Amino acid sequence: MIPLIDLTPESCRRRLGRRRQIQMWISVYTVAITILVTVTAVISMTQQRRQRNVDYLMSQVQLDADQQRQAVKLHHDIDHYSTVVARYQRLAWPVTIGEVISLIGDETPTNITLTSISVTPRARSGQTQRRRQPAAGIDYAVMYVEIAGIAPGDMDVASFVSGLQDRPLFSSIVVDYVRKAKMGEYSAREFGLTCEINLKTRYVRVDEEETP
Amino acid sequence: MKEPMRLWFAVGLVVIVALGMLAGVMPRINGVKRLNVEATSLADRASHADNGAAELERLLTNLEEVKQTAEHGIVDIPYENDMAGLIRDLTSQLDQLGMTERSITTGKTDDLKDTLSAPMSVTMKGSFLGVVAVIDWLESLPRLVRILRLTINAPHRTAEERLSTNDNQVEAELLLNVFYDAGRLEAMEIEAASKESP
Repeated sequence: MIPLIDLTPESCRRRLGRRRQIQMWISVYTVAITILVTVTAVISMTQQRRQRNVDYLMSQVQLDADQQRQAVKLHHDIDHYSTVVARYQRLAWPVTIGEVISLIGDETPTNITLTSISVTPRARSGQTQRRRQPAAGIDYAVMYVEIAGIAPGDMDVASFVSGLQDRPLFSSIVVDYVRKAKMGEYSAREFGLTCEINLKTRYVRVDEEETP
Repeated sequence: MKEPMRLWFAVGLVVIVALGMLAGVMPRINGVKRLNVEATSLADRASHADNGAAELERLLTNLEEVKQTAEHGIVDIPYENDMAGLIRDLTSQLDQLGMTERSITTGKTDDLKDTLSAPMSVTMKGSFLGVVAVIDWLESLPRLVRILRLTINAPHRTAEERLSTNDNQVEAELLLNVFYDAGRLEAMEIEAASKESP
């Protein structure tokens, strides 16, 4: 192999050598800066993607928190109205006294005359009647209805009792007495009966036309 | 190339790389780490979130139902006692129905914890239909008035007495509970104040 002989003058050779060195350092700097910029850009993109993911999750969590706040408010409103309804159902009778009187009137045969009706609430079914004033704060269970009247005969009383028994509103119907009574030259029957209305039941009016 | 020159180039390269790492790369790596931790935490919270929209829908339906019952299915218990107004209206009603021998008395108010009950006793004499009309009027008032006890008696109760008279009048005694809720006014004021404040 023929050896290469560098004929370049020494000063020129040094200058060329220095230029090569500088070019090499410039390349190293360029590569280093490029790597730094690339790495920074890649990490920035990753960061932005993560940030978008965090923002989405944050919006979901925020939405859930808002919904929970709304749910708490709705629960509060439901509790409020439920309390109002529960109080009303505790204090008001499930059936009005007017309807009770009206039903008794409907079931009274035309030849029977009622002489007394009393409606008194009681705390328990079958409780012995007490003469003291009923109080507002008692949790009443039944409405005790006492009816007295005059009928031409026993069959009329039986018909009246049967009519009351057909009404689901009235229960525990007891005929307390049926006794002979004189009405001038005619004989009649005086009677007294009691029945109960359960106050712990909700009643729904069903029109007769709707019943099968 | 002289050695000091090479050294300066090397030092410059190290400085540029170090500055790039400190100013560009490391803060972003730390940012990504922080976001990863945050995302994990948020994902955990989001995974525990219930089916909020469906639950809200169910609660809204419940609220509508109970509100409908509360506003249309029940009679109001007012915050004012207003016994005077009730007595005035009742007297006017008794006049219109021609009820005689009537008396209205009131008693000591009962505290039922969540409401107050003022007792009122009404006695009257008149036709049976008149008494029924008074009962219907009381039970159709826009405020809750409960007929606690009712007694209707024909004055001539025995068969002989009834035959001897044409008097079809009856005597009636009603014991009423007039409910009112003094605490409701305070609750309404508190609610109004809370709505006004941001």
